[in-house]
Amino acid sequence: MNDHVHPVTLDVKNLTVTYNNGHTAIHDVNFTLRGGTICALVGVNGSGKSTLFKSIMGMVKPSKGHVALNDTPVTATLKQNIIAYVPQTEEVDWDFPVLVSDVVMMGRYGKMSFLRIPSKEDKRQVDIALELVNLSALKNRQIGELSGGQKKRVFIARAMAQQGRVLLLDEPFTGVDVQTENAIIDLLKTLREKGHLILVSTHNLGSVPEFCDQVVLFNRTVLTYGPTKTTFTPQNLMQTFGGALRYLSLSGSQLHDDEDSRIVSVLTDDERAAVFYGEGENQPPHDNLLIDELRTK
Amino acid sequence: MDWLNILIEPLSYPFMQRAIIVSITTGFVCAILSCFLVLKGWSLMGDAISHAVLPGIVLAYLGGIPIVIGAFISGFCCSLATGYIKENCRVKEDTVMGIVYSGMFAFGLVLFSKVDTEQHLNHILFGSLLGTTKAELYQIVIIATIVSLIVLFKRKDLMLYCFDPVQAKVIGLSVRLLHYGLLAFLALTIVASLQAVGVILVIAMLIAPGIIAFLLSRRFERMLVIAVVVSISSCTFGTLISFHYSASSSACIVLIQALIFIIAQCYRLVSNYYHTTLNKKYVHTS
Repeated sequence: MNDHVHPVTLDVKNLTVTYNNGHTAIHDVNFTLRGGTICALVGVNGSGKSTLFKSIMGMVKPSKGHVALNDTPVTATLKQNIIAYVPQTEEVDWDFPVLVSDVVMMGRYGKMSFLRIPSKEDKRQVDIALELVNLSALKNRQIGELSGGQKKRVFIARAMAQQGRVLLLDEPFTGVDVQTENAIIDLLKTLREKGHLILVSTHNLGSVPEFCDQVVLFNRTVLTYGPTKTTFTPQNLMQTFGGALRYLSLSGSQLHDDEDSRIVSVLTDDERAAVFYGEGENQPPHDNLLIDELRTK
Repeated sequence: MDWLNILIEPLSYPFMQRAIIVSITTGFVCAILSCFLVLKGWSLMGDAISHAVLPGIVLAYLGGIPIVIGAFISGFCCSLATGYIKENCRVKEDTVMGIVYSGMFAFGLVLFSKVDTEQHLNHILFGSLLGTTKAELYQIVIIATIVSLIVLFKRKDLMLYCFDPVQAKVIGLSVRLLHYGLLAFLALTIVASLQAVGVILVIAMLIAPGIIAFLLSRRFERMLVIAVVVSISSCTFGTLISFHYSASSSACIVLIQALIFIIAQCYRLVSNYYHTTLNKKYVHTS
């Protein structure tokens, strides 16, 4: 099957997840993504991003609605190994007795026979994946012996070795140095060109416009989604995060002595900040939110 | 030649031959399961299942079905009930497990005092390795062999399930099957081990080899090998010691395992110390 002939599609329709203890984590979630995109999933902690990921992977049963991959219910497509997943660093047991190469090999299990004996091709793909994330020299390390950025790269290599066309990354930039962050972003960009569908949950507001072409703003449901340019606006972000964002606004004259009179807004939750420029003098990019701020005061 | 005699002499008695075979087989299967138990963090689950088999044993006797089947069903029910209650209320798993298994154990004790079985409570609680009959021996060997073979063949899937259940799901494995499969194998292993070590101490057999191997290995395959070696040797020596000193054999086995654990832990501490000081030196010079 050629990627370019059949771009992969991910369809989330009316998805509601209520846990057995009565807690509704997400409700009425709707969005559609096609291959060849990097989409950011942005929302506060506890907004149900992880639950959304889990239901896309078939880990939790929706109480309403469905998730479809190429128009097939996602649970029926798992055997095809289409979805690859990069977990949050905190979710991994780093003391587990496995080497870096063992973890990457786990990405190949779905392609192996009953007894999971790796073929030459499996070993080759593991080497390629390790090379891609620059970990070949460390492949015989136990995973706990790695630095934060290296730890993240191990699981990205596993996803690469799996060769899934849908890639889910849960907070890939937390606890990662800038160099690794850039390397991951470059890698994701090349995958997008190959027609992969990439969904990234992130806190890192600053890097979103840099590499994501679509954004889903999320708080228990989809608040809004669409192209980054029109969706990733200070107004929408403020609405998504409520009061949980720190923001700072500076006029041109405060910043520098040149003609540029635009006002700069900086929005951040806890990581790299998002920076927006306004249109002209006295026209801050966060216009209406400034009014809200004044009102509350 | 005197000490060699200490090893050989007991083997001239048929009851000791049976005891050694049983302790080696249970040691083997417990060692394999213990690796998964330690990595999955299911130690309390092992303890819970082992206590929960008691009512099953008595009821099986009353119903005239084989004790092994009653014990297995009873133990497995304990883990199912725990899982069900946890899913449907807000209490944490270990709390639920605590009440479920102690409740079942208490029920078993009450039943035991009311029903006249030919079993001795002491033998169920502490095992009676030296009193193993031929029929029991066959039973244990068959269960242990089946469980060991399946778990060893499926070790990579089970290991992936312990390490990263989400990845297991994403590549199309049945996480539910792996979960309940592992629980069922655990229950079977416990049932098979009751003869050797009894309800109270079986948990040690299911943790000690795994945790010792965990301290000494960086790869899962190596962990399995170390666990098996530790477990079989401690079972063999424990049984021999109990013969010579006429002490409880289960206690001797567990005592040896606890000693090996302390030694392994000390080794780990010392080697960590050397590693960090060496690293510091390296940082200073470079």
